[in-house]
Amino acid sequence: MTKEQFTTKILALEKSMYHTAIAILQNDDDCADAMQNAVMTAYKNLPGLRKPEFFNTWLTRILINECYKLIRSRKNTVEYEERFEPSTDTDGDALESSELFGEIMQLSENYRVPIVLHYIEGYSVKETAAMLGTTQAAVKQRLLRARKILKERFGERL
Amino acid sequence: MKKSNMSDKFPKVPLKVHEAVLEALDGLDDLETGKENIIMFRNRKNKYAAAAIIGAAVIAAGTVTCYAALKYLTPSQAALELGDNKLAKAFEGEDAIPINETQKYDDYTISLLGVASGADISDYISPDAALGDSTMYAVLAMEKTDGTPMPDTSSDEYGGSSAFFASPYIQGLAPKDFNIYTLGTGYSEFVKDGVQYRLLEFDDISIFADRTIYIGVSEGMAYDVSAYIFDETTGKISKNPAYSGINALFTLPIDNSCADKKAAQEFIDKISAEMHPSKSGKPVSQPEMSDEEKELDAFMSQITGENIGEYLERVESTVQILTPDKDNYIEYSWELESGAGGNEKLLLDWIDIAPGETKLLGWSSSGGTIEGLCVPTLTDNGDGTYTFAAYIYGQK
Repeated sequence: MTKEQFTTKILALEKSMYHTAIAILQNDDDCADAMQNAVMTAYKNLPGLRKPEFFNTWLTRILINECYKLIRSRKNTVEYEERFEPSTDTDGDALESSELFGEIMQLSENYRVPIVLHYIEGYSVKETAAMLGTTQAAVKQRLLRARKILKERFGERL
Repeated sequence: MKKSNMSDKFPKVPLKVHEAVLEALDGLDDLETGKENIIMFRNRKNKYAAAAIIGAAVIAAGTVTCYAALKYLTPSQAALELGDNKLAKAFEGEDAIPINETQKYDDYTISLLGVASGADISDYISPDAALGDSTMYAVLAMEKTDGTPMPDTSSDEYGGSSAFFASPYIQGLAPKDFNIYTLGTGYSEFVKDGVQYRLLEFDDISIFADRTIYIGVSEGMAYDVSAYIFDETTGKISKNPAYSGINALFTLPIDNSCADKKAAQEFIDKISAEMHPSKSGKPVSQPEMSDEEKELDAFMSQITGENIGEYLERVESTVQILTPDKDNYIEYSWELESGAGGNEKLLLDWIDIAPGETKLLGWSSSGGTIEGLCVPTLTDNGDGTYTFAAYIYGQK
């Protein structure tokens, strides 16, 4: 993969990376740091990626690693005020999605990360389980519970 | 909730996050410059060709082997530092192999702390391994012998002069071909209390347990043929006693009963086919090769030291007449208008070059195109001097 191909892929996956990072870090400044580190780490390790078709999962795994590395390196906890606040400068349909994303961000990390990876970014249960280091049954269970919580909040709108 | 196209409806990337990503992408050129042996040579074949030619040049002294001091983290603690709880447990399990062996050099002290293998023993998916495949993990510790702390992974110094090439090797398989690039899936690294820990992740090579399996650590970003000796008769790999840099080599005590000759041969065939698709006679899926890259490969395959002038243009500003120093090293640096360039110190003992002959010192391409080619060369002038020159694609 050339540098140009790598750059194109990163820009195409930027939004997906952000959703994954914000689900873990809940803070845009930290997302910026983690995504920057993930891009550089991925590029440095690109020769180790044998099958390009695994690029998305591979990159997401690197990003998740970088997010948790950042959490470990920052002993201080994130203040609630700094946490993710959904933007309101969106229109119609997007406003509802933004509201839903805001609700997802209020879930505990156990629920919000698998729900972002599976429902929002479209990774399979198997891929999500592998990326998070848990079983498929556990992912399904978490998704079920998360959906239940969200359904209680959104009712039939979900 | 349906997952299709959901991502597009969710929050946009904030400007400051987007800017951070762009900044990282802009900085890729710096990464290339510092680590060109890995990054600039696009495919394995050429990467190895370059690694085989370009020798490392670090002055150090002999080694001392002993047991690793207790001051290091255990493999399990190292895995925990990397947030891998499952692997931490695996390192405490019955199947894990504690090693705790240290090899000391003037500048650096290298320790292999332990090895573990198995299917699904990590919290993280192997990037290019099918789920359920068995993977092997090794934890190494690298520190400065004089006690000064290793640079943190977030510092600018990290990966510079203290870059290490750590890799598994297998008796009977040429280490220049069968190393972490072909056997591995990656590594994670962190620095704690001044010690750099590396978790190496690679295919489970215990199927080769009827041979000697090694873990080697040398300097740089690619396999250094001058650091080790590969005996083609016995297949054994050993440290090159004449090598003056780091060439740590550990032997893994893996139970012979793990050997599986059939699986091992299949593994060799698979890796060989990936490395030399034209020789395997089998169709090999390499979707990463674009048309431009195929064209570039075909173009480079016809270029030799003798005919390079017919295809490429010599950049006169890069031409340097060099005289080897007392240790037979030459040093040169060059920079092209495009910003590509390098600074190398080369041990002539490891170059098979005759008077009057010109050798290609590898090649690289910005953008993976013929137009972006840069080919450094060295000519033996026959009078004790050598000429370095870089060639680029011109209007030939």
